[in-house]
Amino acid sequence: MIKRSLFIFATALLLHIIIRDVVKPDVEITQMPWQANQQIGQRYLYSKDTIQNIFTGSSMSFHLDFNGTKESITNIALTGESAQKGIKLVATKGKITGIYPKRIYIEMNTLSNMNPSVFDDIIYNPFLFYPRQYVSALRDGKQPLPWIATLAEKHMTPYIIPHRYEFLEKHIRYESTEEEENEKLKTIINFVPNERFNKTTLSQNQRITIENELTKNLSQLIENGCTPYFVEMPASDKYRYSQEYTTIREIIEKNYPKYAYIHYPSDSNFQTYDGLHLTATDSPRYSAYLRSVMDSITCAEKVK
Amino acid sequence: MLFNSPIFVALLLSTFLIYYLPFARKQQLLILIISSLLFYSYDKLEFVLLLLASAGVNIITSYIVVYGKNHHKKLIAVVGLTLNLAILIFFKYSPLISTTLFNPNSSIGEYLLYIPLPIGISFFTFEGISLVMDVWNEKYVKGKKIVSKSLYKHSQHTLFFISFFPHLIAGPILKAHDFYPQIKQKLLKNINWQAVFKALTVGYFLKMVVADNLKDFTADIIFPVYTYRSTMTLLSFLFGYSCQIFADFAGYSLIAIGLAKLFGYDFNQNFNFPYISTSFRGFWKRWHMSLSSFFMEYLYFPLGGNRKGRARTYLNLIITMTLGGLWHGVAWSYALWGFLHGSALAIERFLTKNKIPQKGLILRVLNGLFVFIIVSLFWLFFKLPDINHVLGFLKSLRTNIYMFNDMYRISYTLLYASPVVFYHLIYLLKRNKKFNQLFTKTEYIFYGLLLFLIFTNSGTAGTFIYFQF
Repeated sequence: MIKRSLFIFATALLLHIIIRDVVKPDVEITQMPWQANQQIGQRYLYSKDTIQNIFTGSSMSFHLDFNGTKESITNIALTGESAQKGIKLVATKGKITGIYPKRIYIEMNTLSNMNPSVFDDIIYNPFLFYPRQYVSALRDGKQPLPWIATLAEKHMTPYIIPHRYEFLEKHIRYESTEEEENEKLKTIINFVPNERFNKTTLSQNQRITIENELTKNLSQLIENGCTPYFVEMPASDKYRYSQEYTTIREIIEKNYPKYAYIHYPSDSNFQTYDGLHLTATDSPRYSAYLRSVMDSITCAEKVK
Repeated sequence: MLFNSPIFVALLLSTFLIYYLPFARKQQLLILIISSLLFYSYDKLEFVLLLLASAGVNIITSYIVVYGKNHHKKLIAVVGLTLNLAILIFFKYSPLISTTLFNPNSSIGEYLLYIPLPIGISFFTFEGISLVMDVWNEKYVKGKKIVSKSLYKHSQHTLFFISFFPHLIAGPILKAHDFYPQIKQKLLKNINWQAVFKALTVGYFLKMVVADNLKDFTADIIFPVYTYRSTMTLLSFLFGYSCQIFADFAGYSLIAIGLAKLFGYDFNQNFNFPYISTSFRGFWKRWHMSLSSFFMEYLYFPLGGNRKGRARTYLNLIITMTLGGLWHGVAWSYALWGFLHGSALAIERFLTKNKIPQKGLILRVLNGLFVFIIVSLFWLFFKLPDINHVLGFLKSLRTNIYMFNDMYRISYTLLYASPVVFYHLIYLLKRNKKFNQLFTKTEYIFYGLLLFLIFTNSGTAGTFIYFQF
């Protein structure tokens, strides 16, 4: 029984690999936000292309658009994570393949985010790390069940569960009063924990941890000919002048004094919707500014 | 250390290899004890001391109860029981005591609030209680005492009983009289590989594919997120959470059973397809069976069970279930959860006079659905420890009927919950002889596909829900 089960397992896996790696349907499914990060990370890690310019950051830089720069830039910003994870990815890829990018742009704002996450556990899983390198069917976004779910969602569920219930709505709809709605809003606003956004100070221990993590991976990149550029994304004054941001700047200035630090023009008036993330209007405006800076860097290096 | 973490796989393989080496056979217990202590110390080293202290209390008290002077026995049994409960109350319920009896900002309140919760404490202290109670009640197995005359041997047996890693942090809760007779030298040739394979495959599938994927979606059963979701979306989440909590815990129990079998030990079944139950009584005979039977044997019966009249029986049921609820978590909502289950049991007993009527198929299905719906609603107290949030969720079920259905989340939740439905359905269909024969012949296909999905479709490793207990 065990042998026959293992045979079925091997056959199913083989079929899956054939479908994913030989037939190659152009479908990649993101089931949850953490999986989008995995897909970005694994796509970069196992890519055979020589990527010369990398941008690494968090959700603050996730939507930046680098299309149209003189040299192509690959954005591996990870939502909910920090540039530290991206730097580690680049260093890991360098260790395996010996390939390092020419330049790495580092979003410095969230370098202090050292919260434990499952990102590393999944991407550096010792059982899957190497198999994923050769068998792309094992990478995230290629799971068989989400594929079925997507098909089911598209073709079946609208018939089974209508999007709206006209009958119910008409007969038993509950009309909440304005007072109730206001009360609901008030409790929601009071409840949402703001710890993540309110963190504007760093202890000495936290500073040491951040510094160690940064220098450990970045030194490896620099030794292999990669030039770091530190990018400070626009943020509200509360964050911009906070002790946390000042500490991060100090760490960078202390350890990497000869590398460029990309500020944004103080008169640019980039708007954020929560103090940290650029608005839909200003994200393209800031992307354009950054592209121009990146092009100048490319030109300047070529002249050298 | 999670059962699905690479470090655990390394520990398991190395323990297994050494355990069955011919020259190590005489030291098998010692090998498993060391491995179990390594397993337990992985997250926090200092808690090993507590585990050893707990084992120490039970070694000494149980030994004296069996071999000590007669007039001391009762006192020592009471001391053993009290110490076990004191350890549990101090480490587990201090935050609840702090917020209920003291001002959490006062020095004692603050001290109690921040006492760390050692993982698995509810399980290993209950096993200690089981040992003390069993020796006090003079439970013999085949006419032999379960406590060895040699104190060294008894210490080894007890430390092994309490710390054996498959059950250490989330059960099943073992009873001393079931486990001690199994302690002897084990041989590789006696392993039932098929049973191990089946238990581990289904266990890991339920945990890694079903529960770990579902948790990403049911995470939305949290205030204030649920206030933005439509009624149908919330109902699918509630259904998903019922399936998740089952898959998580039943999966863990099956893994524990499979791992124990690898080392030659048998744990009793912990889940027997609970969602097919057509009564609350039936549900508790099938859900977390090791805990239910523990409470039945060591709390409900000593309280008088059903021997002291009907009113007292109902009260005993409610007391047992309320304490059982509180065992699950450090919040009054857990006690309320237990109270509701106890009340449901009492009402059911009152209405049916303790007889489950054999009705037609349709009525049984309706009964089963009713029990499932009520049990699912009660799970809200697990997910939302703030009672106001539970009420808010129920209100949202009523008010959000006009909101847009999130088809994406509904589809995924139903998809990942469906294996739990099939799991129960196959069990019911297997009662049909022809289907059973057909299934037995083709079951290898299912196990092969489960392995494939474990390999290709696991979710992010989440902590087992029952670890918190």
